[in-house]
Amino acid sequence: MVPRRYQSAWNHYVLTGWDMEYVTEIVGNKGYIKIEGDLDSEQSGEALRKAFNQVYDQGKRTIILDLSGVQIINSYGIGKILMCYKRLKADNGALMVKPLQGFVKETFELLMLDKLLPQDE
Amino acid sequence: MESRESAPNVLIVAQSPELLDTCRSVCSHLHWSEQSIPATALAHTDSGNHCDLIIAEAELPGFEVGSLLRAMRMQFPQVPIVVFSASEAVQGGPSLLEAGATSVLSSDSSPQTLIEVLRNALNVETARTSGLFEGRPFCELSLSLDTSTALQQRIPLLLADILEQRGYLDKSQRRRLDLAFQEALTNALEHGNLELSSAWREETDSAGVDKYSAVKSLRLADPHFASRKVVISFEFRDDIYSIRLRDEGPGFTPPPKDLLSALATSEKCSGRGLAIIASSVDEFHYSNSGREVILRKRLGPSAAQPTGV
Repeated sequence: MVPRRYQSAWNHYVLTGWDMEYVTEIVGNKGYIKIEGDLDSEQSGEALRKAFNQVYDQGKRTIILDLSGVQIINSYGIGKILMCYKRLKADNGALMVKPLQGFVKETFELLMLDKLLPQDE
Repeated sequence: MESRESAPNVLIVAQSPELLDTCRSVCSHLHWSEQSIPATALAHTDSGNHCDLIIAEAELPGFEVGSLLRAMRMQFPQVPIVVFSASEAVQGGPSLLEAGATSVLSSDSSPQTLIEVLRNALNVETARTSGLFEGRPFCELSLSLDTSTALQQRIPLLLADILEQRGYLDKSQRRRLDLAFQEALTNALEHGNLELSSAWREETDSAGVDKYSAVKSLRLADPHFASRKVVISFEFRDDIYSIRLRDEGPGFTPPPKDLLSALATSEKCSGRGLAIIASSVDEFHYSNSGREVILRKRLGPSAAQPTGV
């Protein structure tokens, strides 16, 4: 499977197809990761890990996840998010989320993750 | 529950020698009498002949199974029909139920699974409680998959389409149930059959790759683990939708349900699956040393809201 490659206005690469990557952006001292599709598989978890490392390695310790494009999240996806949270916490950093909606919001509230991960308005 | 004073008479409509052998062995084990006929002889079978149960093969050469089922249903309107189907074809199980099957299971199911399904089919209550499938208030779909096959595809929540169409399930309930099912299935496949420990998710190498993913790849390449089966059954009876999963792993001791809240809200990277399941169904419990789990959800207008974790 040949990955398609194109350049976005956010000055980064997005590969679709075989290799999944999430869009990242740096604005000031914050890093943003936009997650598309469901966060419920090894592939999506690996993509999150890579995107997180990409932002983290640029020295950003306040990282915001945009989950507005996520329909389904399961315990695996939540576990991956919490790994990011713990890594930042160990560095006195913070993991935040863009305002949540739908099924993801329900799941976060159910597991009280909305108390752990503040919203970035 | 039907009471039975004499052993059931089973009519087997199949051609596959393996399937015939299995059905005959099971009937012999249960001390049930059986008669096998080719599908071509079905039209000549006197429907007045006493027949308590029909076992049919879905992939009979020269026959379209839906038409065959409708014909059998017309000829034997009150008799439960259990259909064996190849694993890949079981995705079409709901359409087989619509066509007249009482239960559908995959053709490589174990004799133990077959016995359970046959006994369930014979215990169908005669009272019409829901009218879901033309007066048959019970239906069951079972499939048996090895671990590597099960992990390569997304197993859908079978029966959910029909239940949603008939108004027993709304979209939100369906999403929650699907999530609970996927969590339970992952537990059965990864923690059960592949014996992967949740704690390994927190052990990462310098690149951040966790031990869990690394060991999972190794075990999927090892036939000892990858060939272990998971049996999944979906049942709808008396407005209760049940999902049963059975794995072939070493078993485990689930945490007490009153601890699920604490686990769910901790900062640990694992342990939320059971909390998600608990909040999505009305009841769930483990048996067989943790190798089997059953999830139950009451559906329909009389369904109560889940009580949560």
